[in-house]
Parts: sequence; C-alpha cells; structure tokens
Amino acid sequence: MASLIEEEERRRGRNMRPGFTRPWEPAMSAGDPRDIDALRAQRAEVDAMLGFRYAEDAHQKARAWWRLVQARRARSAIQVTELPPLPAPPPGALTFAQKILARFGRFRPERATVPPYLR
Amino acid sequence: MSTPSFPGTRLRRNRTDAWTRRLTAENVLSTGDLIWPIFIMDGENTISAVPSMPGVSRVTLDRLVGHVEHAAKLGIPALALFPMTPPSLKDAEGTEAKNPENLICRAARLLKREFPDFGLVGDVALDPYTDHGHDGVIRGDYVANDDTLEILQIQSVIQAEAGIDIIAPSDMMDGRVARIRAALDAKGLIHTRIMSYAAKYASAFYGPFRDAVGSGKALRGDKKTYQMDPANSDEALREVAMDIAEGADMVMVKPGMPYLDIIRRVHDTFKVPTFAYQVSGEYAMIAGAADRGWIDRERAMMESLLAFKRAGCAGVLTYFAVEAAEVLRRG
Repeated sequence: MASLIEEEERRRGRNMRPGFTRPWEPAMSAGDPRDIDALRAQRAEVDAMLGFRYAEDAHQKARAWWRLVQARRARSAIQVTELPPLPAPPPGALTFAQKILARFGRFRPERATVPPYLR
Repeated sequence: MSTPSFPGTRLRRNRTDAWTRRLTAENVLSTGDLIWPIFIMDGENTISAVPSMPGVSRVTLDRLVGHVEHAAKLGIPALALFPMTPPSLKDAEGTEAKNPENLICRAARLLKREFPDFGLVGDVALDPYTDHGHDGVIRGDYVANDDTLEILQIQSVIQAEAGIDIIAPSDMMDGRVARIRAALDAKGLIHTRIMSYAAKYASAFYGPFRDAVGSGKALRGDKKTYQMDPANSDEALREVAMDIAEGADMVMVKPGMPYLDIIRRVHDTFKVPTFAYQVSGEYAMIAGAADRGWIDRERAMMESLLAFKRAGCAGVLTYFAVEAAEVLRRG
C-alpha cells in the first residue's frame, strides 16, 4: 500500500509522456497542454496568494509576497491575458533601494530580485 | 396499547401552547445535525451562483475561507467539499482524482489550517473528473467495478492525507468500502472515518448538482448499472449491511425526502449513524417554489429537515445548512 501511487506509475509508465512523473499527467494531455499549463500556473499563484494572505508574521508575509511575485512571473510567461494586480509589498519586503524605486513608481516586481535576507 | 377515546382524551390539549408543543416534541433539529455541501472551483476572486440552485454558489479557493467563516461561527460541525473540475483536466480515466494538488486536496489543506475544528467530508467518486461523467472508468460499454476501485483507493488516501476527516465514497461500486478502509489503514490513517453513500439511488433529483459541478452535460447515458433502482427497498438493506461489514462508520441514504422509508428501515435495522443527503433537486424544489411565493421558504426548509430526524437520521447534508443554523440560533 505504501506504494500505491508508485505502482500506478509503474503500471502506466509506458503511456507516460517524457518529462512527466505522475500518473495523472499523461491523461491530462487529453486537454490542450497550453490550457493545462495556464491552469497549473494559476493554481500555483492562488496557492502563493493564500500563503501570503494567511502568513503569520511580518517576515513570513514578506517572504510569501516574493513567492507570489515569482508565481506571477511564471504565470505571465504562459498567460498573455491581463492578470489582476498583485497586492502591495508588505513592510520589510523591499530593500532600501527598491523602496526608493517604488516611491518614484519605477519598481517592477516582476524584474526585481528577492532581497537576500528573504531568500 | 389501548386506544384512547374522546372526550377523555383530547390530543389537541398538548398542542395548545408553544411551550407544551416544545415540551412534548419527539424530535429536535440542532445545528449539530447539519453538514454543509460546498462547491469549489478554479480561478480567482470569484463567487458564482448556480442558476438551478438559487442561493447556492461556487467559490474559488481564495474566497473559500471568507465563504465558510460564518458557518464556523454558527457551529455547523462539518463541510462536504465538491469540486468543479475544469474540462481540460477531465479524461476518460478520471486521473485528476489522483492528483494530490487537485481542488479538493488544496481546499482541505487550506480549511484545516484555518478551521482545524471543522470536520471535512471528501467526496470519493470519479464523476467530477471523467469526461464521460460516470463515477468509474469505462471498459467496453460498462462502468468497470474493479478497475475503478484502484483509483478510489488512491483518491481516498490523498484526500485523507490532505486533511479530509471523513471519506465519503459516492460511486456505488461494489466492495469499495473494504478497499478504501484497507488503503487508509495501510497508510496509518486509522482515524479517518468512512461515510458510505450506501443506498444511493439512480435519481432524477441530482440534476442541479450536475450543473453545479459541470458534469451534467458531459454525462453519457445514465447511472442505472451501479446506482440503485428507486423501486427497491430490501436491496438498500443489503447495500448497507455490506458497507458496514466492510468498515463503514456511518451510512447515507441519497436522495433524502423521497426515501424517508429507506432511512427508517436502515436506522431500525442496523442502529448505525445514518445520514441523509437532501440533494440539489430537493433543495431546488423548495427554493424555486419559495421564490415564486408558493411556499414559505423558512418553514418548508425547517419542516423538511425535521422530517429527516423523525425518520431516524443522525444528521443531514443540506444546502440549507447555514440558513437553518441561523434560524436555530434565532430560536
């Protein structure tokens, strides 16, 4: 029983598409792969958003915000439609330099790097 | 029992005042009897109405906590989760059911973190995930029992690992409770309960639910080769007996109101916690008639729920759960 999923993977292995590691992946190819990739990216962003919303302290919240930014970055690469705006960075999420850029409206989270203390 | 006779006996005496009616009530409905079924879907920041179920909505995960907060405050003990799977993730084998990142599992993790005291009921069946809308995999032109069981085992384990407290197999495959129990136990999930949809009838009352989860249009054919014939009553007892023998902790009769006789027989015969699912069609009948002003929504709702208690139910899955809990709180 410990390996039900593994057994399933082995059993269906011959049908699996290269690069996929779970038994549900090849069957999902029944749909348009772009739709599925977009859906996964959206799910990842929603999870990141929930992580951000329910983070317990300021440090966790700042880290969660950057995870959200990264999820948005990945999603933007797949989905060309307009996406809802991200929440503003919480206190402690930006470095001094990033804060200055933000003050002048020049800060672009999708291009910025995560501050070392939040990695 | 001797037959009481008039005028020495006047049964109306005990109905004279509200307080005697309360004092002599044989059955009482409480908030602790209610399980609230909710629909979850992919997307962001959306609560969308289900047209055929006035007052019922589908919610995205980022709105889920807010959506159920009120139910938690009202003291509703448990939620039953049903996913609306995007068409791109549906296939003939229902493989999204085995994805630990599917909607149900993600919702369970979120709800357990935010509301650890809420009981979570997870629907186990393949119909939300198959492109043909059936509860199992199809081999030839038949819904294949034993091949489906393997998938249900995995589905149950991943749901329980995500935080689902009660696995509720609704598929009506033979032998599924035993296989699910074995799979859960092998993973050490010995406290995960099983509420089997033991007597689930091939009913016309499920239509609005299928709209809500998006499986109605997809369904090819009907489910009469695995769900029960509405003509049968003894067969329901055999179904329940098998599920109890296989390890079901609670059993369910579905639909509810048209099958109160079955609930009564199950309760009297087995003395196990017996639940009813007041299904979408039952809900839609009351809500639809009330919307047109033909019946009093609140009174019809409370009367229908009390009927389940009178028939012997330990509890009811009902879309009215929040509304009923509000009425009960008001007193």
